[in-house]
Amino acid sequence: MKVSEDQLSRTFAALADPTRRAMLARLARGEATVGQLAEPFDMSFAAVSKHLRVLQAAGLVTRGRDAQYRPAQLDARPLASASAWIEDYARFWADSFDAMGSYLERIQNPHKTSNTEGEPS
Amino acid sequence: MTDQITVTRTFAAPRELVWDVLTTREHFAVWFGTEAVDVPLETLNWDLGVGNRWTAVMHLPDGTTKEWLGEFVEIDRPNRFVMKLTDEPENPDDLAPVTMDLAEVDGGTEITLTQVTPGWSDEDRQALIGGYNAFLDSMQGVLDRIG
Repeated sequence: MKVSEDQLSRTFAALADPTRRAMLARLARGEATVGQLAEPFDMSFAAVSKHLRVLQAAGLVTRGRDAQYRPAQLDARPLASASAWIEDYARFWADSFDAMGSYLERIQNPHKTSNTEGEPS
Repeated sequence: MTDQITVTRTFAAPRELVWDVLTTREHFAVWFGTEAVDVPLETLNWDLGVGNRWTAVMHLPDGTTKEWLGEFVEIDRPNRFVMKLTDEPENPDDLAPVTMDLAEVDGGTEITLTQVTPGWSDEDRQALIGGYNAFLDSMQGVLDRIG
């Protein structure tokens, strides 16, 4: 939970769109131009460029300097942060549920001590 | 990597009791945030009601404290409890919604907790649940390289 929430919000917002996820999956195989990215979709170059800008703002994609083609490349570091954040939260709740389970056991069996295995009388 | 936004747990207790432990101030203070941390009851300002906000101070094992801010969104006893919460109360707009669904199962009560990040529409959420696993699996190789 230490990662910047703003950065995470941008990462998750970028990931929430199926077209952008598909574009990232494509970029995971190597850099691609806007034209190459547009190929699998029934989309204009302008629409693809718009998705690319969202991905760039989220830090997930960088663009090359070549003025004409400017191939897009994946930068997966925000994904690692997002993944760690998700795992932190999942762990937080899993640990809380551990505590809740022990507590439920205690309040349902108030006379049973933690090191007693026997049946409640 | 798997989808870890959802946490499911079965408790050996009747659903009404699990609901009470989940949503009652005195009980919540005991279990929230693990066995290792302490939420003193006097720091928990908790009045269950849709739209009400709650605050708590969590004492961590390293001696530091963490302030929490939450808001009750849906209270449907004993089926569903939805609240928003954040450990950055200075940014109340970042309250993250958490949904807990309670179901009667063999052996007790199952809670399915789903946490999503702030600022999402329902459509975003559905898209994420639908596609996140497959997407992250495909990213695993990349993550391994940079990890």
